[in-house]
Amino acid sequence: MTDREAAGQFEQLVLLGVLHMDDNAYGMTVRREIEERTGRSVSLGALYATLDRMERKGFVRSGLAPGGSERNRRAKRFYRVEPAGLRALRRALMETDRMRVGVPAVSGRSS
Amino acid sequence: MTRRTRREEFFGDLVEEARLRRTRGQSRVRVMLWVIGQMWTSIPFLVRRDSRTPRSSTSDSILVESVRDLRMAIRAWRRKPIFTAVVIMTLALGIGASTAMFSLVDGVLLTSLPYPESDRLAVVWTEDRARGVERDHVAIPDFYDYQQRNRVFQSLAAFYADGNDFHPDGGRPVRLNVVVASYGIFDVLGVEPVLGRGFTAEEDRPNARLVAVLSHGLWVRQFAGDPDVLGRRIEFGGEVRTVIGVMPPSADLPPINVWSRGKPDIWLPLAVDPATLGRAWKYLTVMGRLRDDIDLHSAGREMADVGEQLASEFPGTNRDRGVWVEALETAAIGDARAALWMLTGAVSVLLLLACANVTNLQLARALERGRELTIRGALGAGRGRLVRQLMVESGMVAMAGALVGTGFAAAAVQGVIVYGPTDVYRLGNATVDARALAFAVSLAGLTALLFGTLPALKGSRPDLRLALGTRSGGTGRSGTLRDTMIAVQVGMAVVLILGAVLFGGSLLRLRQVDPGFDPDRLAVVGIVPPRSVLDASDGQFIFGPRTEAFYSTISDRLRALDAVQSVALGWYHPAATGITNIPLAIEGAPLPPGVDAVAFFSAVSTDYFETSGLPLRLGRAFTTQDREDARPVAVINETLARRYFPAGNAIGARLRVWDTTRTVVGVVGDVNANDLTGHAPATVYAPILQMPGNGYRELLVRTVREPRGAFDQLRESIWAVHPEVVLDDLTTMNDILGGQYRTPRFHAAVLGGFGVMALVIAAVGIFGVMAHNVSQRAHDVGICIALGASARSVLRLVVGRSVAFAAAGGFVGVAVSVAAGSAIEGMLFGISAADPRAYLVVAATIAAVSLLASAGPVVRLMRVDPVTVLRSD
Repeated sequence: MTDREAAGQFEQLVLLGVLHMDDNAYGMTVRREIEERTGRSVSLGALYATLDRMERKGFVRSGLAPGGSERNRRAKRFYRVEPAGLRALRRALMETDRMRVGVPAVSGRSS
Repeated sequence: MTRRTRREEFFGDLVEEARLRRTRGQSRVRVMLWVIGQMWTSIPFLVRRDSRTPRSSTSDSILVESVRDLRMAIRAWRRKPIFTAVVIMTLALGIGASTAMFSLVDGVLLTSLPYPESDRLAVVWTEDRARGVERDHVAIPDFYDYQQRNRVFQSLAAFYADGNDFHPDGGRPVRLNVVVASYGIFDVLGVEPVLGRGFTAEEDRPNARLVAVLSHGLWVRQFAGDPDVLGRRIEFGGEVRTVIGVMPPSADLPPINVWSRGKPDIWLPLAVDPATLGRAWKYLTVMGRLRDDIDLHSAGREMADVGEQLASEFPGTNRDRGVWVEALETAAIGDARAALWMLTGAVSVLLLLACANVTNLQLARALERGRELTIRGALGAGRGRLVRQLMVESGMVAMAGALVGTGFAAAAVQGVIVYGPTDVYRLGNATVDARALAFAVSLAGLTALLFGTLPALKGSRPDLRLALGTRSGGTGRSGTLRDTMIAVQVGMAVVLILGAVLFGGSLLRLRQVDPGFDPDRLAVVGIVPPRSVLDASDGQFIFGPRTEAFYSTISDRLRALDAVQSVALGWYHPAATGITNIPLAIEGAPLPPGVDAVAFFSAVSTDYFETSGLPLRLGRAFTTQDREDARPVAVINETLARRYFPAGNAIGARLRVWDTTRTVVGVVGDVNANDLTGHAPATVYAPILQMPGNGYRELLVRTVREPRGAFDQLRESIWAVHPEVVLDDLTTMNDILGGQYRTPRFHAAVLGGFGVMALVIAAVGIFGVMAHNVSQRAHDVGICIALGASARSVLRLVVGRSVAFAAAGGFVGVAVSVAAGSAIEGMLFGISAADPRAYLVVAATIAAVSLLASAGPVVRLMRVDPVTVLRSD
């Protein structure tokens, strides 16, 4: 069932954010990336909740690393997108694209 | 993956970004705000107990759910800002008024007096049974007998208040508030002097060394807090006294003496010999500290016995004189207690009114959201869950109302202190403090329960019809609740508006009372002569020939001014409470048994009656012939003449008053302005020239035009005679009389305000319910009209029940008012609490406002087009 699932709206943004941040994808960086690119304000807690949920669904994978003095030595958790997550993201984007076709207001093309 | 780790990373990220923002140049405040914002929006994540999905319906703790409810509540309220504002304001009015009342009651009634163990202090009153005076003062010999014969007080003292002039060295003379007391007074109060000591028993005897104790305020103001003030000799009231002590700022007496004039500036010993004084003249207030093993009740019984003993020993004076005891804390409040309870009652009514109104608002809102709530219910949220969510919403808006209301309360309490009655002891101590805030918050919780419970229960009922979009709500149980709330609002409004009408009417009647003299264009000023015009005699300073010449010069100078019509001098201005209850003996007129004659006594100059506009009814006023060496004469007022000379033969009668037998030469009209109940006391006036050694106090000046315009001229003329004269409180007679209306005016204003608020809230409530009824029943109305029903029956269908309920509420309000009316009779003047005209005014007002409020919806109802309505089916 998970293979057919499309990522939800916020999940898409988070997955894309993690992809953007590559090897440096953790809470703070992903949040800032989404905020900067989309212009919407992102709650850190909401981000964590979504990453949690996606990890349980198998969309992402995380690992802990020790933190430095800039975060008072608190741990840092890095995330990577798993193949299942990529599939969910692609599916969601494809669904939107397919729906967009034929609606001039948002399709950006003439037909 | 443990919970702790997640939170740790979260805070790690938070800290890291905060630092980053700081290095990028954001101010501390902005970063702080951002952190707070992140914490707030992340609450659901932070409080989650386990890492399962947050949507699980059973495993979240109450805390988590409540937090979520709170956030949802904020969102829900924000969606309808005007509605939210109306609800919060309505609650703020009700809670704010209640909190203000709490602070007032707390400051005046509940805070104990600033003396050690003040609950052990009691006042001993006499009761004048013949004249029906409950709290009468004590005669000097009676006090000494109380002291000797009682076994219930560890210390007993007596005092009276006065005003007199202090002449500081090289400074202007000033009038001070005096307390003349027996030596035990400081013991009874339990105050320790900050400097020196109190009086000794020796100093409390006639012909003892003259001493004085200063108040803290006087010490600072006139002596600059000089620690060497002890032993200084000061000139006070025409006598030279030695300062022996200074009292702390807490040394104060409640205004329970007939002549009380404010916080004492200076304390003098009573210094009298009881054996030489009669028992007729009662002007002492007696206060004592109960023995540790005695309670108030036993003390009362014992003193009553002492009173009985004295009654049988001195039947002439003490026969109908009962003795009783009251706690000082109760006595200090006096009339204010009744007023405070009346206002508390009014405030409670306002609060209930506000709650009823908000209940209807909440109900309407809960029904509007029926769709959302039903779906949530269908998705598994239990009824209890929904109820809790709705209650959290109510609680939240109630808290907001409490916070805003506390702000209102603070302003209101300040307003009361500044514009309210001036004779309420310790009113100035009332503040809106942390306790008041706690009260407001608790009240918010209570009101949230009151107005939130029923709508929450109704709103959480699974009702598929709502979800499917069919209209309902005009009938059934929610309709009953809504109409009941309307009934409550109308009833409460009736009570408050009646209060406004009664107190407003009372104030009007008061202002219509004819004072008995002409207060217009009359300037009044207390006049304190400088030392240089006093005559010295035996080391004392008295009012002698030099003082008389001084006053003559001033009068002549003032009369010469164009702006001045006439000038007079007297001990008191016409409306003052001066020396009361002075015993009077009328020669040849045996008194009816059980009544001793007493009168109000004043000494006046020759043109006093003419200047103040007191009409002469019989005989003549004083002339310059009525001097010290001539026959002692007196002028009496109508009340005295009617009471003791009903045959009209007052002229020529002889009275003995204040140790002199005087012949009555004239009768003047009554003054009705000393106390506003409209009963003039029997009054005796003596010519001031025949009261040697006792000087003038008040100067009356009748001006041609409005007195204020002449104030500067008056001051200059007086100071031209002598630059060191002190003018004490230059004002107009109309202002003085106005000051007597302060308390009734305050009551009328507050209740008037409540009445207006009640009308507005009730009108809005009625409008809301009518509009709701109309919109809900539009469908049924359409059908009825299509079937040919008359306008009347349609009207009856839609608003009939609401009107019936409202009328019923009105009747209940009237019934409650009638029942409670007797409690406020004592505070009304010239109007009875059961006056039918007042009820008519109230009924008319409410009917008119209700009609106005319903007009809009009813008109809309009449215009309902059955076709449109049925089509939308």
